[in-house]
Amino acid sequence: LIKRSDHIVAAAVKRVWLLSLIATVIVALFGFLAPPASATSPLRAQTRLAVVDLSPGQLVGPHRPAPAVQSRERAPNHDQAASGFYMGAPVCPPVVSSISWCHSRAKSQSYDHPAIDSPGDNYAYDPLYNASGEARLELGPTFVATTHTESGPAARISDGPGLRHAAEGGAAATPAGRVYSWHYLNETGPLRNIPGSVVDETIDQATDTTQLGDRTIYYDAKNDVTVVQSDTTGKIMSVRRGAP
Amino acid sequence: VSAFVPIAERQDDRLRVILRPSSGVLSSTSLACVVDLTYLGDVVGVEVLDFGRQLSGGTAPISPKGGEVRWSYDPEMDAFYIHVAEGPGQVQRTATAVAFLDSDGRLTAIELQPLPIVS
Repeated sequence: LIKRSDHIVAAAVKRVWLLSLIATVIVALFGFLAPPASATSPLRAQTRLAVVDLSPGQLVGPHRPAPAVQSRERAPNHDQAASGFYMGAPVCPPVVSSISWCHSRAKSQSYDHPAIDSPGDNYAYDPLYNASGEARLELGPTFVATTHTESGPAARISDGPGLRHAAEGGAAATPAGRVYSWHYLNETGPLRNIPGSVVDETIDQATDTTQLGDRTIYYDAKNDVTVVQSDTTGKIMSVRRGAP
Repeated sequence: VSAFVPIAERQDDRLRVILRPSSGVLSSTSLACVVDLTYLGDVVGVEVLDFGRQLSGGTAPISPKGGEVRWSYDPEMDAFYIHVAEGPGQVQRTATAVAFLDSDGRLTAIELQPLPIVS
C-alpha cells in the first residue's frame, strides 16, 4: 500500500513539474511575441521648436516717423530742477512778441524752471552729446526761437546753421525777453546749458551787482551764476556758473 | 605743402593753442578769460570778453570752419571764444591766459598756465 501511494505522489510531482515547465515556455513565448510596451514616459522639461499660429512681433498702430532722440524720455533728473534747452520743438508757444523762447519739453508750458540749487549738478550731461557732433544742439543746450514778421512767425531755429543765422538777427531771448548776443547764443550758451529762466532770475534777484562802463555784471549767490549784460544793447553778453 | 591746422597742445598743467603759424612773435599780453571745462577737468574752450580792448586793438585770424580747434569773434560784444575740444562745459573757471601776437597784431597763440582745476 505504501509503495502504491509513493508511486501516486511521484506521478503528481511529475505532472506539476511538467505543467510548470509548459507554463514557463508559454509565458516566454508570449513575451517574445508581445508588442513593445505602450505606456507613456513621464513628461520632462525640454526645448523644442514648433510652428505657432501667431503673427510675429507685436501689434502696432500706423507708422509715425519719430526723430531720433526727441521722442526719448530724458533722464529723470534732467529737467526736474533746471531744464536744458531743446532743439526742434514740436510745439512752441505762440509768438507773443518779436522774440519768443520755446521749450518743447514743456509742451507749450511756461518756463518755470526752479532755481538751481547747486552749480553744475542740475545741468545734466547727455552722454549722446559727444557722439553726434553737429547734433549736439538737439541733445543738449538749444535755443529755439521764432522771429515775428509781417506774415507771422517765421524762421524757427532748428539747427546749427539756422541757429547762427537767426542769432545774427538777435532772435533768441530769455523768457523775460532779454536778448542773447550772438556770442552767447552760438558759443558759450550751448556749451554751458544754463536755462534762460536762470538768467532772468540772476538779473532780477542778484545778490551782487557791479556796474562797469558799458555793462553790468549780476551775480546770484543762490544759483551761483554770473550774468554779464551789455548796457548799450541790453543783450546778454555772457552767462556762466560761479562768482564774477 | 600741407595746410596748417590749428592745434591745442596740453602738457601737464599747461595748455597752448596755436591758431596760425608765425615766424616770430613780437608781443605777448595777458588776457582775462573764462575757461570751460568738463567735470573731469578737460578744457573745452576759452572765452575772452573785451577781446579787442585787452589786446589793445589786436585781432583774431580767420577761423577754420571745421576741426576741433576753431574760434569766433563777436564784434558787437567784443567777445572771443576758442573751442579746444568737443563736449559740454559744465564748469567755468576764471583764469589769466597769455596771448601771443604777430607783427600785424593778429593773435597767433594762447597759452594757459596753470590750467584751472575742477574741484
